[in-house]
Amino acid sequence: MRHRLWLAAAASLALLAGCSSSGGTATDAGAPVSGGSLSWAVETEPITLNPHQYAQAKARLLVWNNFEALLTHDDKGGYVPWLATGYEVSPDGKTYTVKLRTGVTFSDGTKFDAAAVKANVDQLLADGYAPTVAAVQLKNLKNVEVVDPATIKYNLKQPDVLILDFLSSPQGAVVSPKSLKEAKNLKAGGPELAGTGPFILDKYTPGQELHYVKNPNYNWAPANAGHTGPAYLDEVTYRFLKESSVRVGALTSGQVQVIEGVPATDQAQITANPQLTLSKGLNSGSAYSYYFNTSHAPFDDIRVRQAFRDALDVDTVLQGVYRGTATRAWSVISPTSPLYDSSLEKTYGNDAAKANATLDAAGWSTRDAEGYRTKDGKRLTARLVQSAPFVRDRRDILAQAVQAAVKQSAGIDLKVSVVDQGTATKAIEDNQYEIFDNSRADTDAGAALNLLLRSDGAINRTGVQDTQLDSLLAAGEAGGDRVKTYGEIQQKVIAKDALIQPLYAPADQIASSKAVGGLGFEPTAGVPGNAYNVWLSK
Amino acid sequence: MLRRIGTGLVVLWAAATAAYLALLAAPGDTVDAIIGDGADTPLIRSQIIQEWHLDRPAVVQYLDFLWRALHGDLGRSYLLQRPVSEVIGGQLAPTLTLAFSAGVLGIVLALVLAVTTRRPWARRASSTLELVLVSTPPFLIGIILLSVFSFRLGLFPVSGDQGVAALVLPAVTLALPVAGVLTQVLRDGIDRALDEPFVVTARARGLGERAVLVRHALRHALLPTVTLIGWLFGILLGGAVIIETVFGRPGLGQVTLQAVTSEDMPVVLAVVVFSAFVYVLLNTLADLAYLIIDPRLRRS
Amino acid sequence: MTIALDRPVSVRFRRPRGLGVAAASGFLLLAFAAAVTPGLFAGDPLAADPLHVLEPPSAAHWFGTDQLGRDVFDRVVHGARHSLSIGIAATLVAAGLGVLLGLLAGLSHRYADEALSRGFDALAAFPLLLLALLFVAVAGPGTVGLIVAIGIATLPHYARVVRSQTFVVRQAGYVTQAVAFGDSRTRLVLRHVLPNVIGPIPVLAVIGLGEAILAAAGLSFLGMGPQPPSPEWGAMLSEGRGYLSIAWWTSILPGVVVTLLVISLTVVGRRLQRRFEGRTA
Repeated sequence: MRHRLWLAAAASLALLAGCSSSGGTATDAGAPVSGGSLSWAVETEPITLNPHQYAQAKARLLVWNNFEALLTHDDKGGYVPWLATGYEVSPDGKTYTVKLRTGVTFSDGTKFDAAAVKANVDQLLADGYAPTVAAVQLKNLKNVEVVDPATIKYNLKQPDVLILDFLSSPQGAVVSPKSLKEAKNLKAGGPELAGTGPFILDKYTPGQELHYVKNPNYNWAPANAGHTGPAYLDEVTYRFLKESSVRVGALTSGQVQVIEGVPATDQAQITANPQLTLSKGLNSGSAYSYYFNTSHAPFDDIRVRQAFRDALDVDTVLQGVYRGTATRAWSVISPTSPLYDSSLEKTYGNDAAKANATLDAAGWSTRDAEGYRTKDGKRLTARLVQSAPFVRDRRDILAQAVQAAVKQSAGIDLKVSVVDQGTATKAIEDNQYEIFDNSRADTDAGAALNLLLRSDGAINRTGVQDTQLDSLLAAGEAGGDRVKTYGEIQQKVIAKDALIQPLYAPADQIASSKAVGGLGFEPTAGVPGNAYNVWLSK
Repeated sequence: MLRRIGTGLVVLWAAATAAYLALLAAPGDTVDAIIGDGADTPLIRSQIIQEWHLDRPAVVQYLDFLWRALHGDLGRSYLLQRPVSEVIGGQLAPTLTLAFSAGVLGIVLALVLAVTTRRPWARRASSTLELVLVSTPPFLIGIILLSVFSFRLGLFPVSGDQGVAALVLPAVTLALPVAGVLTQVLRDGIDRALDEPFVVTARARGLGERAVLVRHALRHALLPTVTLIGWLFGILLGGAVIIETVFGRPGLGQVTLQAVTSEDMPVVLAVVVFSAFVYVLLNTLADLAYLIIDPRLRRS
Repeated sequence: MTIALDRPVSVRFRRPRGLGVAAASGFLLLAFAAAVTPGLFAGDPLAADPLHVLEPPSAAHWFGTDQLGRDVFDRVVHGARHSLSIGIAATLVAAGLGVLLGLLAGLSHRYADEALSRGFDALAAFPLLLLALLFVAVAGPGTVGLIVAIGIATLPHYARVVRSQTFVVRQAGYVTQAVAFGDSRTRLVLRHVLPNVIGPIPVLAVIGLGEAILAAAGLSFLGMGPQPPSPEWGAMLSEGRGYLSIAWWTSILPGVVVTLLVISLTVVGRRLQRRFEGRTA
């Protein structure tokens, strides 16, 4: 009898865990149990372990093990207090007052309070420390004020709802002020940086692995974390295995229990194995898209941009490269975002006849010996320069598939080159490209669009200079009816101006042994979550 | 000896300078390389220039680099924000373990093959095998071993640097071509030695064929092998880059590849200087080994 | 890949059977024919077919299809042109520079000769890959960088041989005679020294070609070679590696072809070498 009761309790607990962590995998791991040591193979070794320097979406699942931010995202585009207990916005939208949790300590014993939060912001604004954060996320921040140990005030130069996104971002994570002062390699981070998270990073072996141990004093999980109190696992080791075939091999041979980053071609191997499960989460931010460079020929002509999109059968290309595992994107914003405009779906593309007619009309009516279209003796060439260190998801292969498709259907010459970083940057600087490819993993799509579409955007590669677009983006940043504002933006850049060819919505995959429970994706961000709610059945 | 060290230092300086000049000529400047695919605004640029003192003339930066390298300070990695000595030092052990075990394995294999395959048919079989080994791209050997022994049979772990089991396949991959070449050199040496008068004398003294082979001919054949030590080092270190990529092992090769593709100049320079250093060191050792193996050289 | 490249020149294989030489020559002929007129043997190496990706070898696709549904056999045949032309160009660079520097060393005074010879030693021993990576950092990945890198890294083979030949020739009667006749230095070198020292070079180059091809494949494997969609063998192997567990043919078959080509070049080269040595001895 007692046994049965225990089982029932366990089952309800598991149910709870499954519900509250968004996308938590259906599990054969039974009820959560404490203890054990987990090995998890990840694709990317972070360039830096300092959350303030965070720049790789693939590193996000690591950051939240030992660091925490004031807020976190829910799965509906809103925010949940984390190291905060709540926040208030002034009516003019220029002051954010955040109430902080009390009784939180960093793993080095330092107390977490408003002064610690201020020390972090001061550090972020220090010269040469985090220029990108200062120039982008904190561009509208005037100053921060410590009201009392449990209250801090962010004063803005102008209304900017994206400050909340900053407060829930890795760059907004709070590092022990003691570490900020004493760390030898502050910008590189590592075990010497203390955070408040459910795990403590105790060993970093470059090129090999990160080893975390449980923080036994942890007792301040956010409401949507799945459970309260310390983490289940005693230890978790993240091993860096760059090659996907090697990661899958490590999982099937039992060297690790969890892997992330399972390319399409390997997914069948996982699903065919009764011991393993596979789950997927769509990322937030901007979809992986080709941006047409409108500053010179041929894409300064909107007809050529439209023709390129019509020439391309995105579904077939994705099917070939990703074998039906990719989610097609129709807009520059990822389909999981609350700001996504679904009315764009199935409104353009895959019409080779129309593409050819448009190109004929635009003057690209002759063909050369190799079958490419020409105009005044010049070939219809578009150069796409990919930087080798940043190619992921087989985007180089995808580019080759697109290359073959647009050649076959409309005689467009897409020249793809995969080069080193310096060469890629130089090509961009010298304006020696016609197509730029990119996806952004920002949790608030607005932040991505500010960079990509504004006339002065830091990654404005279309060359678009449009005051109407700028004012729409400014309105979206200031708040109000953001769904409507960003809907107008998407209609403008996708439907009306054809500035962008959206391709697919970036996704993350987790494959794991069925003995592992509680794995899931971080709400909104859509990347694998941290190890807080993960357990290993005995 | 002093002259040797002097020459060694010149080689080091030349290597460092050549690499420095080469990187200076690379497309895109240092600021571009540091920004990567991140946000790019004038403010961010000026902060980077300030942080890394990139506003100084190239000559001053070069002299500063030399001066600090002389004091053992190889600078900080642009990309990883850690001292270069730490970046490289941390990756040294896996590469050296791999190179050393592959080197030893290759030498042992070669010795065994050269001595045991004296009969005509064995010789022919062995020669064919050697020809195939030295003609096969090592990454192909690695890929085949990986897919057969790890993926299909599950005999060895697929990856990483976790204990001896994970070292087996990479070490074998790297050792096979080495063994292929060394066996040929050794067999050639043995053949030549067996024609020498001293072998005839030894045989006349009634020494068994095996003893003649091992005690006299092999010893004689080892001498030319020692000159290959520099070559061996090149193979092992260069091969490591590819082997590490195939097997997903951490190591110097991976660091180098990452540093080159992201133009992390301080790391690239350090790798070049380090390789030159090992080269100088090994050649000095090879000269010493000569003296030990062939006492006749001591007099001159 | 650096392996064969730095292979000591003194290494000698046992006499290959006649059959082996014939097979090797046949394969070489095929490879060169494929490089000159690939269209004669195979279809379009770039024709993608998204509906037939990663299909195993069959009557329709002898080597199967790759991740874009391209015919692997077609790509391998067309790849012969890339690999052979890169190999030949790199060998020409190496042999050209090698002869020049070897002559220079052989004809210079002690110190200059010593410096050059040390340089050859260092170059031969320095990991080719590192050298090549440096070149790539400067020139960017691609065919030219590859050719220059391999050419420079392998020039010591040729330089050393030419240098020692020069020493021999310098002592020869006709040279001392020419000096006595007061021939100009340039004339002396061009008329008398050069023709007598480059004898071994063509044969060395045949063997060197195999090594250069192997090196090029290795560098392409690391992504330093011709850019996609060029059907370069090393690049094909590298691209196919990600599909190894489900489609071995996309990577293994191009690799086997590289190996066969290099073996054939070595076998034929050795044969020529023996002939040559037999004639001069």
